[in-house]
Amino acid sequence: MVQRILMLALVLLAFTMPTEAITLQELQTSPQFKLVHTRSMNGPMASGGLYIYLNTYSIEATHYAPPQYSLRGTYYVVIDTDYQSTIEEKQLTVDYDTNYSLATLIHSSHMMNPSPSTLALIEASESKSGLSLVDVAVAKYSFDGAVQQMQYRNDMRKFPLKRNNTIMYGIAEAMFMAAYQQHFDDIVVQ
Amino acid sequence: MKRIYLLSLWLLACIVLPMKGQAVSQADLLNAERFEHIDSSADSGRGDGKYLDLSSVKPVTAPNGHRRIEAVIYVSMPAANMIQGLSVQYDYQIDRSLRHLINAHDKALKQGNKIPYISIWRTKQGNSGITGTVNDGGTYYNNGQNRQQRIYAENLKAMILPADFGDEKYKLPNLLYQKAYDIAYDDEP
Repeated sequence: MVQRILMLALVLLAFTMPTEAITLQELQTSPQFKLVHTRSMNGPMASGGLYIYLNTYSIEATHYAPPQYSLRGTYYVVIDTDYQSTIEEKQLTVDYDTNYSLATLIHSSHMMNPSPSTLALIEASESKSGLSLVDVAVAKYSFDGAVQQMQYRNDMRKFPLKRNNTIMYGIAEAMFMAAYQQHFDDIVVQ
Repeated sequence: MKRIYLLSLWLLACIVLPMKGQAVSQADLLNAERFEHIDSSADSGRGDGKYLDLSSVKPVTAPNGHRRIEAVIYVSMPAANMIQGLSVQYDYQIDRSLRHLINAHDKALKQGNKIPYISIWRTKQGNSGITGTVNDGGTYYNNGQNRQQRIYAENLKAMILPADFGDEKYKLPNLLYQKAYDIAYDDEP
């Protein structure tokens, strides 16, 4: 009887354990992690690179009411320079509104008679992308998975995302693609 | 020796040649018939900002597939008692206009090549199709008198360049193009 209770306790413990630490090797080899951004740094201060991996298995739909969607997922920022070798785990929640996708804007522009100038299209696409997000730091690790101390506070406010913010836009786009197998900006709202 | 002396004189003349535009005062810039104020979110509404000399907009020869326009722009900073004149030339690559890229995308889509729309925006963000060169500059006081002040070429350039896609500095060359050809650059098919 005691043995059964112990076994049950072990199984329960396994399910309630906190998130596993991640290693660089896992990020680089496991197919669930998609490399969504790379940037090499060759400056006088530091040389190396910055890599962002999206955990495609972590993406969950928190709201689904087309043309509005919300997704939540985990991504990792790897900084590999002479001075820093860290993995930062972050959780991203993105609200998508395809009323503002590029395909919708272009389609609406084609429908108008006379067709407005593309300058109006540029202005519309720059003023609102239809994406807003909350980005939260979860944990920090060394490359071998050892937990490191984080020294900053999270800003939990939701902020609109602009298309010229290519890094965050790229992560949000990759999340949408992983969840719905189509690009956010290719969805047309008629 | 005489040749070297003449060459130095010629070089000196090139350096000190006045700007093609004329000296202007703050009051001149407010004359809407001569100067067009270029809307900017950075303006305080107290007469500062950029002004286009409407009489200076001039298309010039360009290689195939390109168009070039010269113009004089004044940047007014009344609080600093300074007006900066800039003689610029913009080069427009016609096959990178937004309309051209969207048409090419839609054509490829009909042929079964599914390229995401966002790639058009990334292409434009990488190279907007517009490049600018500041050829000359002059500095004046608010009352239009010449101001002897050395301003670095890089600082002059930073006032209106680079013409990155979607940026405020992108609107100006589009406006110039419209003035010269009656069509916005990004509407070129």
